[in-house]
Amino acid sequence: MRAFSRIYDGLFGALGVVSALLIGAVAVGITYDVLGRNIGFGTVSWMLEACEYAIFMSTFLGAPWVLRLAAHVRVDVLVQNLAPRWARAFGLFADVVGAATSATLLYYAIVVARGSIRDEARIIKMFIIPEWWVFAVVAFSAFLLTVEFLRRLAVALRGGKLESQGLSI
Amino acid sequence: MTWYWALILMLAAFMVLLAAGLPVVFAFFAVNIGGALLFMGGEAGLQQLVRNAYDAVTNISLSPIPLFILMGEVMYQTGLAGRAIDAVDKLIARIPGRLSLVAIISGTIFSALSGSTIANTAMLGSTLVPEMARRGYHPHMAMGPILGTGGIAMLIPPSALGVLLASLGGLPVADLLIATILPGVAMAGLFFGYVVLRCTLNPRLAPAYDVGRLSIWQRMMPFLLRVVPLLLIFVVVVGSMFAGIASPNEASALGAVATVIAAAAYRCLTVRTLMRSLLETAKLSVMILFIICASITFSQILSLSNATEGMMQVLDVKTMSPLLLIVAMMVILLILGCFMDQVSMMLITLPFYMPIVKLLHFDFVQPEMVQIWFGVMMMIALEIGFTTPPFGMLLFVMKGVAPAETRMSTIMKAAMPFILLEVATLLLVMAVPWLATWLPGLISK
Repeated sequence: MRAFSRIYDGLFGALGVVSALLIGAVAVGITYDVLGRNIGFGTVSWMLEACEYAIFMSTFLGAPWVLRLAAHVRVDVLVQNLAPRWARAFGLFADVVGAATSATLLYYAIVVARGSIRDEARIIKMFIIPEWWVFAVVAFSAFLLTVEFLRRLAVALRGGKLESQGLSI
Repeated sequence: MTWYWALILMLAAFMVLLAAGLPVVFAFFAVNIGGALLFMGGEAGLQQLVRNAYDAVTNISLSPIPLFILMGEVMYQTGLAGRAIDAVDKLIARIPGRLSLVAIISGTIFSALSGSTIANTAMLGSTLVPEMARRGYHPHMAMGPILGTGGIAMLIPPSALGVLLASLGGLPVADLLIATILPGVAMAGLFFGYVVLRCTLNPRLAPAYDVGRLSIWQRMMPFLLRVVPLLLIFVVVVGSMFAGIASPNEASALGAVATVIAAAAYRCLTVRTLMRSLLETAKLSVMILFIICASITFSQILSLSNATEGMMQVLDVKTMSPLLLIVAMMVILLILGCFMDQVSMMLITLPFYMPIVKLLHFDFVQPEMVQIWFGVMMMIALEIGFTTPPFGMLLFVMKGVAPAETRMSTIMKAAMPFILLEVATLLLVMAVPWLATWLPGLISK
């Protein structure tokens, strides 16, 4: 169980690192393009499009990691001021809604991806890629979000407490 | 279903989910799922929701959001910001409320180098509040200026939330960013004047102390060495946009890289601090960008349920006084700001506000500048929401970095005079639109 927990934490942590490095890559990529244009060593035609995909990937790969850290912004002032029994009930309700929302996103991301595979749809810009690739990323992210909400639910049902590293108002 | 029931249902569901402690982004997605089932054709609407989530963030014009935050994080994590505060501290000598003024000046300078209000407040609070407490400063004079100045990072570019407002509201990003400079500086000026006046009238608020005898050169030297070169980063970001050399996304990338180079030049940069900066940036920007994923569907649902059109008919845009409408919109933002975060406020109000603003005409504002003027006022109203009790985000940031015994009620009282000064700035921009339109007007020339 402990090994599984380490792998689980490692996966989410790795996604956070990938998300962070993609932001760094966007900074370097755009700067290279601007300098290339102004200094005269040429621009890279696919750079801006690659940066767009990087922002998309950074967001969707980073979202489960941010949830794992409980760092998505939320308004928890009301819950904090409730009696513990009610606060727990609200917490369970929030985790159930979060899991159901993420599972719905997962299901429809798979539906859209399957439709794209069936229609052989492609995104044609500088890169020509199968459209289902991007929805597979959305589905992967939604899958991890669902699992994390279910884990939080299980922890709460066992009476455990989750630490937040995020913004609460 | 009539539009007002649709609107009430959606907003009520959103509020209940927020109150239950569900993260804002999942509350938006949950409401979107319900809205898509009701107003977007069920299955087809839910598939569109997934496509919208991808479309919303695969957009290069959003790149300044993480990159402006990265600038602030590099400044904060590498200690560049702390060294700049030390330099400003040496520069200011015997003035009433000295350390409060150090906070205002440092905070305003840092606002020009960072796009994160949270980093700004946390950095100033953790550095200066313990020192002010040690010097016997009244808590109101210690924390108030920091809470006020912390929020200015949202106004003075680089501003991550400014880019978001421009993107969601369909405003020219560079124009809006540059338009907020003068109101931001005016706000800092009001804070400065207030502190000097209050501390002159009542010196016990900020007891004077011996700052040691330093020559003018000893005072100037740290500022020239540690602060002035950093201001070149502001010149790179704003200057490149102003001169039309770079778009906002290009300027943000140049700013981020320039900040990393500055940290390396000052020998503050390590692989560890760089990675920590990137991770903190990812944490904040993923949180914002993921909320944006829900934005397109939310606007579509409001439009398809006729809520947007219905609201415009209720407000009777053609007969109501345009200025009164603007005041009403600002009051709604100020009320929402007491309870909600800035991104949610933008998502909820912009689908109604921008169509209305496009129809408004004013004798004292050029027609092509009305939207920018409104955007600036909206930025100020959103910025005020960072500090308005009971749920202003910066109040909680300050609680996190202030000495452990500090009560929340003390922090809220400390913020009050500065909230009033921020409202005064909002009224000033409303009365004197030139403050917001002059700089963007220069660009268009």
